[in-house]
Formats: sequence, C-alpha cells, structure tokens
Amino acid sequence: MTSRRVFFAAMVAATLASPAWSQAPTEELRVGVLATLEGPLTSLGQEAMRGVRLALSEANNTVAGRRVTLFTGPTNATPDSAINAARRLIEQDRVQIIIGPVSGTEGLALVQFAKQNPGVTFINGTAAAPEATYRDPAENFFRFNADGVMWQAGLGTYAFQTKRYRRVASLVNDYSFGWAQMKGFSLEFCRAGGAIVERLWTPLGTTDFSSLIARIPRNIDALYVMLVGADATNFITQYVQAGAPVPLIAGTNTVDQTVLATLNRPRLREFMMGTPSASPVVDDWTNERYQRFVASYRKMFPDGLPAPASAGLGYYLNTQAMIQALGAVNGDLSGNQARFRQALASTVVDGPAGPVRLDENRQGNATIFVTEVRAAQDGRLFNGFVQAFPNVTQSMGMPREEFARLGVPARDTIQCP
Amino acid sequence: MEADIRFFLTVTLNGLTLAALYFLVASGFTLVFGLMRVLNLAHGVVYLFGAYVGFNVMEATENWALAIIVGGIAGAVFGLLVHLAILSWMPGQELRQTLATIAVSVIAADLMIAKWGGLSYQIEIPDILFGSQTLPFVGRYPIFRLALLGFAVGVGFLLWLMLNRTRLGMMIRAGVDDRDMLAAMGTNVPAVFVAVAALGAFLAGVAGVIGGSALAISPGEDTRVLLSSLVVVIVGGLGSVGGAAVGAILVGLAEQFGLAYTPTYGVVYTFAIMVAVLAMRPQGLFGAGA
Repeated sequence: MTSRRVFFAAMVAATLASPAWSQAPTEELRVGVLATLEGPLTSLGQEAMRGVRLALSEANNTVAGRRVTLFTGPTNATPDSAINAARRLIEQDRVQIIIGPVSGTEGLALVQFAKQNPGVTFINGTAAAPEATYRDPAENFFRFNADGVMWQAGLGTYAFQTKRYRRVASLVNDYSFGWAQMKGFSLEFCRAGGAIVERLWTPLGTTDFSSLIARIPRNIDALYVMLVGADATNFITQYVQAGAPVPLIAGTNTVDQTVLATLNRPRLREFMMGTPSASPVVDDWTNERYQRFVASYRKMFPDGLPAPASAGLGYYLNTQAMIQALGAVNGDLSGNQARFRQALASTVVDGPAGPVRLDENRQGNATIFVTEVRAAQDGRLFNGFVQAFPNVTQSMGMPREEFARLGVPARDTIQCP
Repeated sequence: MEADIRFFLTVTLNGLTLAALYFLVASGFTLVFGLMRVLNLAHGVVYLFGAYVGFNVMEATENWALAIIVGGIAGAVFGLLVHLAILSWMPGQELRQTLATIAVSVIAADLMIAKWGGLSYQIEIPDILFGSQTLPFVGRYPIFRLALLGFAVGVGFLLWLMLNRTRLGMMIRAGVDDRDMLAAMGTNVPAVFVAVAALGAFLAGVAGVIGGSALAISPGEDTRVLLSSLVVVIVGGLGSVGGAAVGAILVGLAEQFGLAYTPTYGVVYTFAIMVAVLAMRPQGLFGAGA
C-alpha cells in the first residue's frame, strides 16, 4: 500500500468520524422522497416530485423554523428498487422522514421495510395497494391519499346506469394496483347487475398489445381498461389502429394527464372523447379551493402537465400532512418521533378536494370524482367533472367486516357471473 | 372453430411483425459483436436516442421518411462517438469495453430523461399507414404492422447484398471469421471496425424511429430493447445476421403466442427458448462456435 493511499484512507476515516457527519445539524430537517424516476412509470415519478415541491414551496421550504432539505431516491417501479433507494436514503443521507413511493407493489414492500426501521416515519406518496394499510399495517406508515379501490368509487354504477353498459370485458395491468382498481370497478358494476365476461391481464411494461386486442370478445358493450403510463399510450394507439370495436371505461391512470397529454393524433383524441373514469383528480371542477390548487400548480410548473395528475395530488397531500404535523409539534422529532407520529395520526389535511383525516389504520379518506374525457378549445383532452363523492372510506361505505369478506384484491376478486 | 383459426392467424401475424422490429434492432447488435467481439450494451440507448431525434424531426418537418433517415444518422453519430472516444482506447479488452458500454448506457438514459422528460411519445405515421386493412382469413389488421414486415424484409435484403456483394461486406465477413488473418492481408481492420460501429448504430437509430412509430417511446424502452436483442442474438447465434432473423422470428412468435394463449406466463416462453438453445447448442442456432 502506498503512503498516499494510507493518507487518503485516514482522511476518509477522519471525515466519517467527525461530529458534523455522524449527526445532522439540529436546525435542518432531512426528508427523503421515493419516486419512479426511471422505467415505465417515469412520468408519474416526475409528477410526484412536482406535488412535493408545490407543497413545500407553499410553506417556503421551512417548517417550525427549520429548513427542509430534500433527498431524492429514484426507483424504477420494482419493489427491490424502492427498498434499495429507501435504505440509501436512511443510511447514506440519514433522512428522518420518507415520503413515497409511487407504485402499488413498491408500497407493499415499503410497509414491511418500515417495520424493520421503526426510527423513521414513512408517509406514502401514491402507492395505492389497499393492503398497505389494511391487513397487518405498520405503526410508522401513514397514507393520506386514497387507495386503488377507493379511486374507482362511483365508476361501476355510472357505467351501468348512465352509460347503460351491461356486458364488459377487462384488460388490466397484472399487479397489486391493477387488482385494486379492478376490485373497485367490479364491486359496483357487479352489484348494479352488470356482467364481466372476460378478464385479460398483462404485465406492467407491455408494449405490444396486438394479440391481447385480438382476444377481446366481440359481443360486449365496453372494455374496462386499467393500464398505467406508457402501457396506456401504447394500448390506445394500437386499439384505434385495429378498428376499436367497443368504447372504453378507463381506470384512474389510463386517462390520467400523464397519458392524455401524449395522445396528439386527432383520431386518438376523437376516440377517447366521452370515456368515463373515476379519480381523485378532475381538471375542471369549479370548487374554489381546488381551482386554487390547479392554478398554483400551473404557475409553478409552466412546463408540467396541463393539470395536476393523481401522482401530483397524492404527494402534495402527503407532504402537506407532514408539514402540518411537524408544525403542530414545533418540529420535534425526539423520542423516536413519537409526538410527531401522534400529531400525524390526528392531522386533518386541508386538501384541495376537501379535508383528509386518517382512520385507525392510518389510511385517509378522500373525495373521488367520476369524470368523462372532454376536449378543450385547443383540442387537448382533459377529464371533465361529472359527479363528486365526498368522504369515500377504505371500506367503500360498507361495514369493515362485510368489506373484508370480499377478499384481498387479486385477479378474481368479485366475479360476475 | 373459424374464430379460433382467425385468432391463430392474427397472433401469428402479430408475432411476425414483432419479429420484424426485433430483427431491425438485433441485426446491428449482432454485426458489431461478430466483428469486434464486443457486446455493445449501449445498443438500447442508441435505439432510444434515434427514436427521440426522429420524433423531433417529425414534429418539425412532418416528413416521416426524413425522420427515419435523420434518426438513423443520429444513431450512427452516437455510435461513432462511443466507439472513437471510448472503445477504441481499449482495443482487444472485450470485457472492459463491455463494461464501458454499460456506463455509457446508464449515463445516456438519464441524460435523455433530462432532455425529453418522462412522458411517452409517439412518432406520427403518415395517414396512409394509419388504420387497418382487411386481409383474407385474418380480418381487419393494422396497415402499419404490415408495412413494418415489408420494411424489415427490405432491410434484411440490403444487409445481405452489402455483406455478400460488396468489398466492405467481404472484409466484414473475413473479419468475423479471422480478424488476425484479415489484418495480415493488409486490410486496415480498425477502419472496418469504425464502419461497422457506425452501421450497427445506424440500424439501431432507424429501428428506434420505426419502433417509436409502431409502439411508444418512453424511458425504460432502452433496457427492454437491449434485453430482447440479447435474447434474439443468443438464440440466433452471435455474429450471424441470418441467425438474428431466425432468432427474431422465434422470439416474436413465442412472445405473442404466450401473451395470447397464456397471458400470465407470456414472458416465460422467450426465456425457455433461450435456455433450451443454450443447453443444446450454446453457440446459438447459426453461431459459428467459439
């Protein structure tokens, strides 16, 4: 070993041992954000970061007199990438709070990870697999956004009663979030008397849908599609190219602005007009508080999406919850963050679509909108307001035990016939 | 019964048209490997780069043919830069070169997210290629996918002509068989390397624009394309253009039949084919052997 190398090693050791590195300065709050900044859900991750930055800028990046320093943990929508990023945020960046992740399966992994890291508080981003806060939740995991089942509130009934669809087939991304959305849709659609005659599943990241399109049955009224990100863009284009035999009913992310903004061909736009969906965001709701949210989003991100998407709203809500709770305890994270967590559990977030409070599993309620795709004057698509359902709970208005009997979201939860 | 046959034919056609796209990407990949013995793992980002450039050209000029050519040239320039600035500094060290291409691909993929963002894009295709055409036995089928098939056959034919009827092709084939002997005969082998690096990257760029018109362009496509090219050339035999064609057809059909008949296990078949080939014939179906 050369003397230079010894010197270098000694330098590193000295730096690591110095108090400035082993302990964070008390005045600064270190917050980590997990977001899918690589892979098929990159657009959602970028939107998520906008939500965090919007909430923080409204608080001038300061909470209880302490500056908030953000650390980003990029993931690629796989559970192991989320765990690796979270571990790096804790061990290397020494964050005290983690906000995120984006994707359902990432969220389930993170809940288990939270149990092994009781010293850190985890506040969800938009991960929407219901079980994260349903069976066996973690004490230090909080979710102020709605889950994937809740996001579909009202859609099944609307498709049956107003659109008069009786027989549908489904094409859904095959992972926890897709199963949750499918459960939310079929819960109401089956109860209303509709039939789901065929269920097609496809892995996240599918690009070529031609053979799945060939499998769609002919004698149906509509196709329920819940595909996320680039999958949705690919499907819609190929479906229209193949002649688009029946209209669509869309899952939340399928007509999200991260998808609608990518459809630039007039024929695609024409076809998507009138497609019903349900979502925690809506682009033209006249509510004053909501419009203020949309306006400040547009002002802060002129090159962002035309209107905030569900990922933006979810991260915004969860970040705001953190800011409010930290303010309530004056930035006190001592005692294993006990006071902070207590405050978090009782925080009522002043959300853009109404107040959000947590249930006993630390899961928030939400306002959900039934929407319909419409075109603005310049031709670009947006989700128009049809109906609002305030105060949707995790058990969809049913008694908890009865809801639990429906089963954990999986491919064949709630069948009809 | 008739519906079953129609479904089977549709899926077969889907598999063949997907194979066309795979062939376009994998032909450049296998050419570069055959000559230089370097697994160029930056091939996927060249594809993505060509696609993004083609998208911008299409937005600016509305000329699809121009977008394909410029996308190809952009890919070639990128490939040349990687070759001249990085790979040619470590000649003969294949492992080190391969690792360097991984670094290039990670860095380039992030730079492209910074430049083009995370949204997916689609390159608009001319109106005559959009929509569907009624085929005997199959029914309505997207015109663009048929065009894709024709395009791949055309590219394959041109490649065959180039390899078998031109002086450069002769040098490339000689180099694939015995690089040292080619150099001993007085050929400037490094210059042939440069030409092949550019050609392989050009093909990737062109494939990017075509792929970005058939499917969407989005972050992550680079690794997906790279992975499917790897499987295609491992099955077909590293270094053989004919092998790339056969490998692409096998993988394309396996993927589409898997997706159509057993959607849950669709991804498994591709790798099952790869495992089978590696077990029975490790050099690939058309590979010359080490």
